[in-house]
Amino acid sequence: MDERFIVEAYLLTLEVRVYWIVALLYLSASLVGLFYLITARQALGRALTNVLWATVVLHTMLICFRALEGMRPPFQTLYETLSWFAWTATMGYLFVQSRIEGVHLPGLVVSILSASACFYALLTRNPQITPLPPALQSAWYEWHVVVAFASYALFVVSFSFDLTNLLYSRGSLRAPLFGLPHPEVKRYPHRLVMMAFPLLTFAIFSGAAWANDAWGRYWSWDPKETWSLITWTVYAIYLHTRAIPEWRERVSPYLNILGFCCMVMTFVGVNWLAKLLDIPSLHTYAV
Amino acid sequence: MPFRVLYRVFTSLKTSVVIMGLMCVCYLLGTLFPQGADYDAYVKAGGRYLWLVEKLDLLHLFTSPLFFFLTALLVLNLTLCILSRLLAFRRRRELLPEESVSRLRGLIKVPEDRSFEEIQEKLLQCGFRFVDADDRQYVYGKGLPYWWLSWLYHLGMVVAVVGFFITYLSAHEGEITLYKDREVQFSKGSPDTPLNRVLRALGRKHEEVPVYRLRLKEFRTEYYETLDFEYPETVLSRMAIGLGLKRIVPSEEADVSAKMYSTQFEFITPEGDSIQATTEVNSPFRHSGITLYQVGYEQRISLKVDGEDREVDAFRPFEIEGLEGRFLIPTVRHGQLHRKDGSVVPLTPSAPLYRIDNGSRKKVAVLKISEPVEVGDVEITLLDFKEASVLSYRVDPGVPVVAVATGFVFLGLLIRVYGNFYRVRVIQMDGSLYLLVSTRGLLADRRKVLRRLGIS
Ligand code: HEM
Repeated sequence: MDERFIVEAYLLTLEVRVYWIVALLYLSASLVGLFYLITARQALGRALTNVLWATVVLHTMLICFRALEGMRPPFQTLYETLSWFAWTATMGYLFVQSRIEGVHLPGLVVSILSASACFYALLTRNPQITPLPPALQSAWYEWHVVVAFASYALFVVSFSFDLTNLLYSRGSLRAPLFGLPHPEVKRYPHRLVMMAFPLLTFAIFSGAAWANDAWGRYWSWDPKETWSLITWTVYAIYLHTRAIPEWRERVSPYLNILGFCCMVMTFVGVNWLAKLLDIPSLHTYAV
Repeated sequence: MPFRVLYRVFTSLKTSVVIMGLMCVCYLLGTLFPQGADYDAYVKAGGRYLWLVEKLDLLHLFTSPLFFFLTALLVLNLTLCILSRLLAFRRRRELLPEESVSRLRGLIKVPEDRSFEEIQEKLLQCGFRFVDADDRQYVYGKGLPYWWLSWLYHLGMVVAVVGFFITYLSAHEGEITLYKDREVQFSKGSPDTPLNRVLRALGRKHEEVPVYRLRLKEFRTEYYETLDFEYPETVLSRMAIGLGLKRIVPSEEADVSAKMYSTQFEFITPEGDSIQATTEVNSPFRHSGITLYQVGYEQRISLKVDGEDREVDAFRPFEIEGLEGRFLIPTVRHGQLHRKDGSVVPLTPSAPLYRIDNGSRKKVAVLKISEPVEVGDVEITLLDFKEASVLSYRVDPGVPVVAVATGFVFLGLLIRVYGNFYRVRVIQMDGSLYLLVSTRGLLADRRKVLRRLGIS
């Protein structure tokens, strides 16, 4: 057998094992977070954030390793984009969290999401590194993906903050033990969606420009495109409700949560609802 | 006054929220039902909710009256909002009404030792400009006026919808299969666009449209060398790899995957001008409003099966007498091969032969040109293949409108959200000076302004 084959298989095995360690670290962060939620001990809150920092350092190395292995951007297959999603979301969260004193609970949401993304990739996708096919060799490719995932990361962080806020607004007596209510935690969800919205807009527009170059049509109404439009519209609705005083507090947090669900559907679940409702796709979607 | 009521309803933010919500429901339906599918095929495939599908035209939702109606409502809503805000800009006053000043929240008292002139000088030094004043208030501003940006991207959205509509009315496209020895013709216009159908119904005759001609010069393909690995299918085995109990094993032979395909052709205009052109995936050829795209290629493959010549199409299943099941040849690979070590070598034409079993395919042989291969008891030889480049052409006058409008939407949003905008009001009240600082945009920093004015 060719020696290169053996070296590549060895490197891939190594990389998959490190990916498992990363996934397990995210899982441990989730468990620490759950204990924090149950016991409300500040030390556990800090531990959650620290485990996430350690994980993201290892995850950064893993992503660089994968990029060097394939000599191309590490976000081509779903196996890779799930990893990229977990990494950007955690990085985004840790960056925002570092500006807020004493609030760690949103980290629980982020670590559960990151762990789920990593395990989903490891258990259901093939890790093989494939070279860029002709359709992906476009100047739009890197921009489209990087900017889309930057917006996803911001949406995830915003969602995690709004879920935390809901804990307080639902009248939990334990909320003060988690540092709530906190003015910054209240302010951030809207600011983060504001930041993410132009990025998502760019991601959709660049996707359309790319489709126009690659397939000759800037919009085909295929389920992925349509779901991205749903996500975009839900977040536009969210931003508008923030400008309506009587809906600002009551309606907008729920729209933020809905926006997040739509984002997840766009990313991994486009055909899931049709399957659930038993509607045949007939493979003629992308017409 | 129904008009007034309508105007109020359609300039309300709540109305836009409701309309956008309805549009979301409509988009959602469009992801559930197979768009463009034939109704009978849908029924045959066990499609459900037939009554709804028929009534709402759910298989062609995005060209249905329901969708047009909702889009029209949104455009009306947006247009009226844009107009009403334009009128509001004209009435916009920078100075706060006298009676509200004393009730303002967020006023910051300027220390007694700081004079108005000093504050003013500092503001000008920080890049603020004078905006307006009366005998009690002085208004200074910095940054682009955000309300204009917000107005601009809302306007951009209306123009973008106009662009989509132009696309819907007049875009048309088609496919061209180019074999080496055959010239292909196509025309720039089509009688079947919705616009031309309407014009015909109104009695206008379809004009003859200029015809363009294409001749294939060369179709090139390039491949990467790739390695295949045996990665287990079951969750437990995958976990075993993670735990170090198993490892990933490489397959015996390298495989190839497509790197690039490109077509060189002669493009002949109706006036007879000949242009040498090239098109690749992601790099279309554009000329006088026509765009030609590389979509793929077609192959007719000549085989010798047990001494008899026969032809098959790439990617189309076929049967072989004496063998069970159906077979398929995806494509004959030829051209240049980019190897992992960086070298580029010509590829000996070859094609994998697959057997199709219950929807999955299994490689049974690799056919190399002129080399007989035994499959079961049958001898198969790949003799030759003929290749055609498949291009698509599209004429879409909506594209420039959509591109410019979406560009404005994005830039307007970006600057509005990420930019910074300040208004500083210096107010004299009860013998003291007060400051009122308002900001917009994520980069605007209220505390920084106060710090630079020396007020903490
Ligand atoms: C496709 C439809 C629309 C999208 C994507 C959209 C997008 C946005 C976004 C992102 C914002 C928040 C950012 C900001 O504060 O500047 C916003 C604000 C606003 N929108 Fe829209 N919009 C849409 C339709 C409309 C319509 C139909 C109206 C008319 C009622 C409207 C009126 C407003 C107003 C009054 C604001 C408040 C803030 C401001 O003026 O800056 N929008 N819109």
